[in-house]
Amino acid sequence: MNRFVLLICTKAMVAGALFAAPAGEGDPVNGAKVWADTCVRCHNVRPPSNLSERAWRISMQHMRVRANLTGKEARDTLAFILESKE
Amino acid sequence: MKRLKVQGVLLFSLATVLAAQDDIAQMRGEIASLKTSVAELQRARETNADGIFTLSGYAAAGYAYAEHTNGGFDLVQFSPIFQYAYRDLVLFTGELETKMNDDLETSVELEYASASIFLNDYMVLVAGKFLSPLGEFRQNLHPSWINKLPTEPIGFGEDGAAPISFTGLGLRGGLPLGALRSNYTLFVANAPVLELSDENNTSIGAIAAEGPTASDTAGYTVGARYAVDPLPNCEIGVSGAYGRAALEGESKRDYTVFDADLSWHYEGADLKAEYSQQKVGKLDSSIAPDAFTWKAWYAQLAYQFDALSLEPVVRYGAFRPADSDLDRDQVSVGLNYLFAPGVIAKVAFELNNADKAPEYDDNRLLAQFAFGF
Repeated sequence: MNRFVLLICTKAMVAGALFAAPAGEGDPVNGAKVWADTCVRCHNVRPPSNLSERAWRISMQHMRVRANLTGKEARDTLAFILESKE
Repeated sequence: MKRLKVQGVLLFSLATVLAAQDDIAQMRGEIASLKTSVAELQRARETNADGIFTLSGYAAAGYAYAEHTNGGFDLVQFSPIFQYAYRDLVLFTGELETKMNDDLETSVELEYASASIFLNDYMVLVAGKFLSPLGEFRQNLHPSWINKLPTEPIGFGEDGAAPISFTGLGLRGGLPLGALRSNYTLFVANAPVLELSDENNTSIGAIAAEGPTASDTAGYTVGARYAVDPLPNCEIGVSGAYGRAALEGESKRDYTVFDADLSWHYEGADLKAEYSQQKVGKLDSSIAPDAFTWKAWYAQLAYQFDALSLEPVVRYGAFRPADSDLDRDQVSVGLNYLFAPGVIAKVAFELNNADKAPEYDDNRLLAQFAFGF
């Protein structure tokens, strides 16, 4: 079993290094779609004004893990939220 | 002459007003420029740091009136969530659950504490103690400001049919299949702790499925969940786990989990359903040699009237623990008022049916105020 754990870790690290996507700015149009199609399934949707930009940045990382979003979906949603705040 | 004087005064006044207007326009421009600078500075201060720390969480207070009791305020809960992110690479998240108990003691439990390492767009490595990724209620719906009723569905809490948390290592992420969205979770964790029944020493009373830490664990559990989104705001998930667990001092025995969940939100309507089952296999050499199974399921429907901020909810749940004398069914009918998306007041009536277990048979009136921050 220990070998199995090591195997999972190693494969994850290698895959991560091979397929790492560049972190760029998100697409707010797609972010609006992800926001509308995902968030309300679990909880009431909070308006962008509810949190500061700093809180939204960390919240989207949290929600990426919790809702199993892709990295692009998380970046797009953050872009939509921040654009809506302005 | 007099007219000339008046005209002169008027011209002078006009010139003064025009000059003042220019000054005001200039000042407005300067104020706008200053505002822009302040906003840019604020943003730079917020985003330039490599690390970001925030404190969020939720809290709740509740009242319960059960048949054959005087009723009372039965819940005071505060669950802070600490989050620290280092760039887009790592997120540490930890939640403490603090509750005041009826013996005036305050309990503090580590709900979860894990580091999430963002390997790429499709893979997040999670290490530590994490909420059970099997099914949906525990990992996504249990916080009081999200849960639409004051209580958890029966069998989905402690010592129920659905695991609470695991301590180990997981890999999870989104997995697009063409236009279809899907997601996955894989994990390996310490096996849960098996507990003998309080009634006798020949049966297993509960699986303490809150991920233990151990240097010499009875065994490991390997599990997975896969879910697809066939429609917007609709997810169907299937989970399973297999491991080897043991009573203290005994040999290992099989431990399996199966879970299926559905979540669908359409317009104002919200449907949730989940079935969960945990099973411990036979072991002839054990003082509790039989196989034991815990099953629970629930279905919940809610509708949110936006204009009134009201949300009626109805839920049916059933729990079939290993000891069939504790079988029970429950119907809950509730009404919520939303002060804000994260601030909710709930009132519910709970019809309980447990023919062989009077302690679970009383109907209850419940009220709860919860907010997320």
